[in-house]
Amino acid sequence: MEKERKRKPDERFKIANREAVIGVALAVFNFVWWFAFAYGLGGRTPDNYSYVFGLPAWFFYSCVLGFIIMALLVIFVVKFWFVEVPFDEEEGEQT
Amino acid sequence: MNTPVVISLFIFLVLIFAIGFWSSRSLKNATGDSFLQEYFLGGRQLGGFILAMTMIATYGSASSFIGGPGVAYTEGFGWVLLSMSQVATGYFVLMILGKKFAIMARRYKAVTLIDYLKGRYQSKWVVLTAAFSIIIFLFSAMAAQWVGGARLIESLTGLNYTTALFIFAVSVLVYVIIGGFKAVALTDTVQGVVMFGGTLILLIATIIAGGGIGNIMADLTAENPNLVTPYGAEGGTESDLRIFLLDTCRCRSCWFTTSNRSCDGL
Repeated sequence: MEKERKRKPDERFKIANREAVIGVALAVFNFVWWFAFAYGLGGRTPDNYSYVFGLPAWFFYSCVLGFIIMALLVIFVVKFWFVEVPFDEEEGEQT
Repeated sequence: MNTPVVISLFIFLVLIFAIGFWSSRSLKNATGDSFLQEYFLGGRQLGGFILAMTMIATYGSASSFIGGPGVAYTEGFGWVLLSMSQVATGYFVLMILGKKFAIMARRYKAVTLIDYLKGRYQSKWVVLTAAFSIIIFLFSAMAAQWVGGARLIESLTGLNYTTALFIFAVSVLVYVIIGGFKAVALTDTVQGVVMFGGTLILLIATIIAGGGIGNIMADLTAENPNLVTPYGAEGGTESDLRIFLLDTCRCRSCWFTTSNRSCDGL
């Protein structure tokens, strides 16, 4: 059974792998966005802060806008790039 | 004793029990293997909304409602910033593990994470180590939640701590025993909705009570300018590191529960 599986690589794992790579890319993007705005904009002294909607600009861009963008990105990626696969084993392999 | 709070707590508990009983009906017809599947996994048929709310209820634990605000109060925005780094954990874990776990778990006929590891590594020691670490770490995480829950009931109702802990423990036990995973997922859904709605109301109420966001920021800056920086109340890397360590502890349980969920619920 193991050999059979090796001869015919499971398409579903290719899909799973591709989606894992997308997940890593999203997480890296998320981290860079989060880190760069927080410590880039927030690194100066509080007297020089600018404010967006009353919140410190670094916080707004890093945490509020960043969250919204990530939520939209995840929705987009799952809707358009992710592929539905059957989770059950193909017939014949199991009784 | 705070009567309105006690009454609403009572109604909430009754509602949770009702859901537990209701969802345990689907267990009655299941026997043997399918009973296990149904009990632990809810028959692997849970929708997206339920999954989302389950994850809210899982992330939003006693630490986000009792411990977290306290630390945020002393450390300021630095803590909130680090909490926001957890946004990635949910989709990251689900995207990486979700599909593969879902396929392999069915191939191994795995019901729990341990079954999965057993199927994957075929090693007694992997299974034993995993089982022990889950028991030890989940136990300590759970103890913290129980203390948090009991303190919450204590402070809201004015009952003493032991009684509060007893109420909390009994309600958790009853609905876990009668309902299984589906009951937990459904009650998590109800709790997720309550948490989300409650947090939203609290947010609006806080902004109104503080006289607008701008006013709150001005007060914070007047109190200690470091509170509005990403570096924590004392500024500098030392306090940063301290917050980070606190946060990592919390994060780890999130990672664990998420990966567990991606094995179970999907």
